[in-house]
Amino acid sequence: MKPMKLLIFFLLFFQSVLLAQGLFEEAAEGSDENDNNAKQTYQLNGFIRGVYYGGFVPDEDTPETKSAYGEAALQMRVRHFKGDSYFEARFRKGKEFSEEIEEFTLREAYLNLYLGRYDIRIGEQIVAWGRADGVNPTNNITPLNMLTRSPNEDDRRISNFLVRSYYNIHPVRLEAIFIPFYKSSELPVNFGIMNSALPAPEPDYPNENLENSGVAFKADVNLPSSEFSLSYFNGFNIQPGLDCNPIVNPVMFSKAYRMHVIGGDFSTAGFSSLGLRGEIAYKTPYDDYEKYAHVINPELQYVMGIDTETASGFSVILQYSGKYVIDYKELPTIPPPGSELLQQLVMMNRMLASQTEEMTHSVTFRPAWKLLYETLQVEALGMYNFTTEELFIRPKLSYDIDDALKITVGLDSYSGPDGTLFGTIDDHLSSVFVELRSSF
Amino acid sequence: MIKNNLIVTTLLIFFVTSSVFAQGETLNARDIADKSYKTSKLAGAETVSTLTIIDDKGRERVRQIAQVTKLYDNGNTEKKLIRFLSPADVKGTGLLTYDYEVGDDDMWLYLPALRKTRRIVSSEKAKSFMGSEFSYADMTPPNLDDFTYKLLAEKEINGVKCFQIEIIPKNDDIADENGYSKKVSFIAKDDFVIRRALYYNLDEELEREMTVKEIRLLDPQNRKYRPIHMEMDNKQNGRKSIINIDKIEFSPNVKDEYFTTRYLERE
Repeated sequence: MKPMKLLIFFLLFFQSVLLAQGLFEEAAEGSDENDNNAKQTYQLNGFIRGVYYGGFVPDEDTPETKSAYGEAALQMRVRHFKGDSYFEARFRKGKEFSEEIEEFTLREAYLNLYLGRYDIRIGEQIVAWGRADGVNPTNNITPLNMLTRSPNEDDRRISNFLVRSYYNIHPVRLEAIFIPFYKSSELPVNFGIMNSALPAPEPDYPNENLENSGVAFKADVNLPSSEFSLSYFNGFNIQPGLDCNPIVNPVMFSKAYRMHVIGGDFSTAGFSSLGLRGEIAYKTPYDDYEKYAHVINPELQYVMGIDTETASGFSVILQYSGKYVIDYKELPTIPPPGSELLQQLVMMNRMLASQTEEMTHSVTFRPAWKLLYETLQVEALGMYNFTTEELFIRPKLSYDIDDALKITVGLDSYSGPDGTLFGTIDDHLSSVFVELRSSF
Repeated sequence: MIKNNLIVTTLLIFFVTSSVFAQGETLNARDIADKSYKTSKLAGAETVSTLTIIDDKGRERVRQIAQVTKLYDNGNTEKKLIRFLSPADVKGTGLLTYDYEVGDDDMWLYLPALRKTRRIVSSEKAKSFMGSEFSYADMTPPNLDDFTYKLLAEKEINGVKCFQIEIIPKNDDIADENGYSKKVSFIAKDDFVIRRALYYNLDEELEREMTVKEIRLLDPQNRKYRPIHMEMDNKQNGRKSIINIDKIEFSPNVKDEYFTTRYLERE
């Protein structure tokens, strides 16, 4: 975080003035009206955990430790005049991707202001748009670290500095987000995609100036029977492309590009025991995608799903998702002389952006079951792409040893044919995992 | 003389019937159930409760919940926001319910780990509430027309004279949805607050017994009460759950803003 951002955040964070509140708000905020001498205006929470990921050395049968780390997190929420502030910091120590790590991260740090119909959130924060499960084409603001090894899907999200504002005229909620600085997703490019004996050039990301900032808008309508939204994003794609300059250095590097995304989503439970949800987005880049290899083609991605839950605690989500790549052109089987590197670059970019085919069809399946009085949660996430034959499965079992201590075991399994993303990363990221987590 | 006798007899019948009606004895079973549900319907209330779940070995798990409710549409819709305060791994989770007198409720769940509000299917009210012996159906007023009612007897429960009412779902779907084939309620004759209930599972075996150990008059003007301490004993598995309302305020003018997905997402 930049010094100026830090200063703004901490100035706002520690200005604490109490408001008159009802019982519900006081309880939710941790206040104790019976103890006037020590009226609590903050909440302190966190966790410590130990995580182990084990698998096999790529292309061998030798077992290896993929990751083993301990992590401590401290979360603090402070209530103050017209809002609150939230702060979460994590410290991780251990081994990841064969390297010793010892890192401190500021997971989130933001200020909320509630000003009548206006709500504002400023700071390092995470945005999760989209009503579909897991596959969210409208979600283009928060980058993802696809190399994060954690049983919790949310841990893949990387916060970035945003100014997020809402105007509420129930049942309509208008949202505007200003993204002053670009932050990229972490891509799994070092596993047979971009690895080279030569040092990789620095990524080509936009400078921090106003013209490189991004904006996003959403109009959300929440009716009792259903809800839907329309959204627009204009900014640099959080998932950059790959480029290279063969004259200077043939090694590929990440390069960001700007795009528009128009999207929408909906959900309803108007079908008795079935919930229905869907999401759609049209993405189109600013730059000429036929000229620049790192820029993806325009695409239309759509998700439609149903979900249900039984009284026994069993729930299931089933989704279809499809993608249509506009102006898709087949690559020649044998590249023309002199364009081998360019063709390889285009193939890599298509693989990372899931644009290897003009039309792709996938299903997502997530059954979950809460057993033993909700102390045991059994869940399995499965994603299969019928077109590319890529498969990801994540069975997971969590048991609450007591109210504060939980153990989770599971498996991440990627597979796919050669030339697909999952087929490339499978040996590197497929692993079994165990997490022991104590929350406070 | 005959005329005088007729007048006396008529007056006698009038006074006797008036007296019986005043005691509620001419109310039918459905009316009693209706009055019972209505007597706990507060115009608005805020509560902080502790839910203690005790397993068959006596081990306890404790959850804290804050809840706010308000009536809309002349009392036909109750909007309710529940926020889980503890333990740490469920803290911040919120459940918003629009409970309609007729038809399926609308429910939204906010899970901090997902960072999203999700509309959830509400028809499965038999689902356990937070792993306790209470179900979501126990926590929400039922649709009266979904059941048949029969006045079985009058009994005394902990020194309180009660109507004993048998409540049976009208069909299997309603039984499945609510999780019981029969419910026997003991409703106090003077304040119409439920004091005890027996729930029979779908195999018609006694499964759970609810006991209300403390009630509080919160709206004296409209004679509205709330159970303050409820215990649910599971006769099949030996488990027990206790809901104790630690703090409660009658708040008819509670903010409408609470009952929006916008507020639900405020952790």
